[in-house]
Amino acid sequence: MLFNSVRFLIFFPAVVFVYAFIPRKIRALWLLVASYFFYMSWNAKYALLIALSTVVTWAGGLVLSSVENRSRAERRAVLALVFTVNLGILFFFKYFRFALDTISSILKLFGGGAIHSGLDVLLPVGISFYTFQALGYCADVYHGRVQAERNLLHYALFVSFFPQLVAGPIERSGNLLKQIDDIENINIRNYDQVISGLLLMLWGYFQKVVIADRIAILADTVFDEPARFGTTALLIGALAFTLQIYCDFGAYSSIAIGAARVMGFRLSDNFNTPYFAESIADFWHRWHISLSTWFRDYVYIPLGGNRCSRVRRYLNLMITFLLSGLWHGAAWTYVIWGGLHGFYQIAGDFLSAPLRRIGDWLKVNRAAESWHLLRMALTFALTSFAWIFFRAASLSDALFYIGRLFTRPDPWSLFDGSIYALGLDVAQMHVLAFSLALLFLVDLLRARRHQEPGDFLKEQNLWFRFAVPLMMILVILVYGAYGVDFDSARFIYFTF
Amino acid sequence: MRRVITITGFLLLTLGMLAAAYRVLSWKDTMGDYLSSAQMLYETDRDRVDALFVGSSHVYAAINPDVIWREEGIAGFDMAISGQDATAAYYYTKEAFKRQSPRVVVVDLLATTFTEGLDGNTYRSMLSMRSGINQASMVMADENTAGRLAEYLLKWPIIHTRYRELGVYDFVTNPYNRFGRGYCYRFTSEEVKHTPGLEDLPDTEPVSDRNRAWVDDFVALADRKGCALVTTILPHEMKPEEKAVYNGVVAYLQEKGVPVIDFNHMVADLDLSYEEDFMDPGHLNYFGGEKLSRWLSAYLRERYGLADHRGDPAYADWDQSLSYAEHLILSNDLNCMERVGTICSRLAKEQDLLLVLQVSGEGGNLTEEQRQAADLLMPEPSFFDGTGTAVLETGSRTVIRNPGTTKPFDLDICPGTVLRVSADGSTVSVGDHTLFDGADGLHIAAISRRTNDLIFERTFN
Repeated sequence: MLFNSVRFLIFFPAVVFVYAFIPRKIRALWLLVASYFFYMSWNAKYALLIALSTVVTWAGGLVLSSVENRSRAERRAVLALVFTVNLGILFFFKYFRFALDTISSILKLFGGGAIHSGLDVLLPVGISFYTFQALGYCADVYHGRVQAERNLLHYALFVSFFPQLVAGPIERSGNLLKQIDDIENINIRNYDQVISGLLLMLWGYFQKVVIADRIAILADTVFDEPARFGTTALLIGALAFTLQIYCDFGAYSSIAIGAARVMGFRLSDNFNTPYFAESIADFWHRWHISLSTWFRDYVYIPLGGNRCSRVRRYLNLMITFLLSGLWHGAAWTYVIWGGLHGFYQIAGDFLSAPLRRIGDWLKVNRAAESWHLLRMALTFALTSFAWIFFRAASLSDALFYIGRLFTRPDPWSLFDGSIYALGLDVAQMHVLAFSLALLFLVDLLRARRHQEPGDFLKEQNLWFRFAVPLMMILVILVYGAYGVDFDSARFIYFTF
Repeated sequence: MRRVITITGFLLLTLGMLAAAYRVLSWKDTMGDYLSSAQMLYETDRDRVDALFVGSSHVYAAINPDVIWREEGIAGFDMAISGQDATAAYYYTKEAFKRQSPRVVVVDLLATTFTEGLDGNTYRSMLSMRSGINQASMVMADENTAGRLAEYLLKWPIIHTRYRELGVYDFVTNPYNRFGRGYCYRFTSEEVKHTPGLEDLPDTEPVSDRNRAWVDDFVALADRKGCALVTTILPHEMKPEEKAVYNGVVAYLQEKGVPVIDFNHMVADLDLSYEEDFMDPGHLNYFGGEKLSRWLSAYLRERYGLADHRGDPAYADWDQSLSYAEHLILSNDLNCMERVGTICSRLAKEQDLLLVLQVSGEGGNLTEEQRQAADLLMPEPSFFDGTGTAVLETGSRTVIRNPGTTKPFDLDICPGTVLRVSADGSTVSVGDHTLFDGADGLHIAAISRRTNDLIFERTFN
């Protein structure tokens, strides 16, 4: 059940309506039933996996709590067991085939034959998200950051809470589980909270169906057949995907956070104007925040974090980003993408001192807007470049794309109408340009005034508070890429 | 309380905005050019239609309610949609009964031969009917909508992408949709290969369960509504397997006591020509339709005693549709004529035309025939002396723009279309179309004030 499907538009109000009027004591049960229904709408069998993961991590948490006073080695063994079971499931469903293919390729190099498992394993939707959420909980219990949850119902809802179940944000037990434990006291009839949630959902739908699904046509056209295009189109394709993935994933997060807010829950922020970042490190403080903080807390810091030698720090950084890449997908393209981000950060750190000295020599004014703009542009260019690996179907495709990007200059394509042959006609291009301008304004508002669009609207006069959502509804319904002309595109992050 | 008012206000504004957007984006095409037989039916006053003709393009190409009105004064209506399948035919008839009480429903049997639906035609049928129980039932009953029920029921997921093709008649109702009677005028001819004896082929395909149920439903509906049910097989080039299906259905209809008129058996009686009266192998053109409709009007009057409503102001839509049709026919006639004298003589007799006459070239040296022909249209002989452009109305022969004028001239023909003459009279345009080719000679254009279309344009030199 996609957020941008008619089924969800029926499901969500129905769930909220019942939730608002049932006795408080059964609220958690109702949301759990709704969450499993939501998840099973993809494939009913998947529910067994999430249930297994839930029971194992819940029991693991209780065991970890009960062995609190035992030796560190014993507690580690329990944690390792829980991690092994859950990562084992994740590995089997997500990485097994990738591992076999990789081993086969290596064997081929030595004259061996390919290995075939004979299994056709389908990737369960959102498995990476709920597995990491559940493992984060166990790690928190292990470190004593939270108490083990004794209420299985509450814990099961924490793992399967439908707004963020299949694409995050990856919640921490200290935030979401705490709210679920207090579910009976949640005030669902808070007008401001409901309006704020609905506005956020509206913005998410705008990002998804008006921008992401439309700009995806450009990106798909170019990435599907890069050999047909020169530098201009390839550059447009790369930029299109850069914006597509932001709008797509940002949309999911906005809808998830908004939907949870309508029901009285506060989910973690997942994006904070990432393309206004002035460095790659800054980018990762703003992009998929719930995942990057997960890797920081549960991988980077346990590896030693910053409190070690420079070489070890670089190694920790690289391991973290390579794993992050692998988390996104079972393919070398994702690993390279993660590695590239690790490399950017290491190179940035390594070069920061000499670059600073050069800047001083050139008398660069680091307080000037132009300096910040330059840093933003460079960071944007670097992330866009890395996205090519993320989007390409294979490593060789990515290298071919990049090779062509730098060797087929055709600036005239910008002026001879060729850009209208990339899948979007003039009318669609106008809609896209208008939408991107609006996205830029909203992000500017967020970056400069640190304000959500909903909070900004709240301060305005009635006519404006009415006009903006009315126009958004109209634009989404009319210009949204859905219905007969468009396959209801899936959110990109569902596959992770 | 304030919040309740705010929320209610917002919801009402949202609904209003969406209703306005829906009106603009809604599907308006069943015959092309923003014409919709369903909308024509909805626009028709209640309880006016006496004979309802239901079916696909075969119906709107063959059964001409304007001819039936002209001949017998019978208020007929073509509730016909391109590719209309059996399910749609039934539910459109039910829908028609919500506002009309026809005494006779004439249903074409082509849909009984359909083996699969076409997406485009399904859209037309499903989207043209107003939302309601009939539309929902039709969508759910139709095999072609499987898996896409929500799209067809809500309509919006299909029509919202029309923002890329919006035109003037999405914002302003095409006048013909107010008074049109569902007929589609086509004047082109194509010689159709006719296999002699095919109409008598005895092979019979047993009537399918689907067709049997369809016939039963129609018979039950007609019984409930107290109207007569007549079925037709309109002239078209058919395959032997289609004929076998027809034979099975016809046998069942006869068993049920429903009259079947197979016009394929009446080609000679109607004087239909396979060379001239077909637009293509599947459809009659206007000339064939006129012959068939004349016969049908007499049949309906004699057999069912349908009333003659001519002269009754309540049936003004039929008069207006006929009047509109006259100019469509005039346009075809004029374009088939060669001699300037014949054309001007015909134009001089017509009402409600806006004529543009231009004389260009050195000294306006027209031939004697051209000058005499032009004089037929002028308020007085030799009114048009020399070069220039005149705009005048037929009938009253009122000159709207004098050829000697040196000011630019603009006249709104209809929303989005302006007749424009440059100050020196050398350039004339109607909407985006520039008239005449700039050559020396006499140029004549006629714009219908009924259809608001440019119906004739010719240069004589």
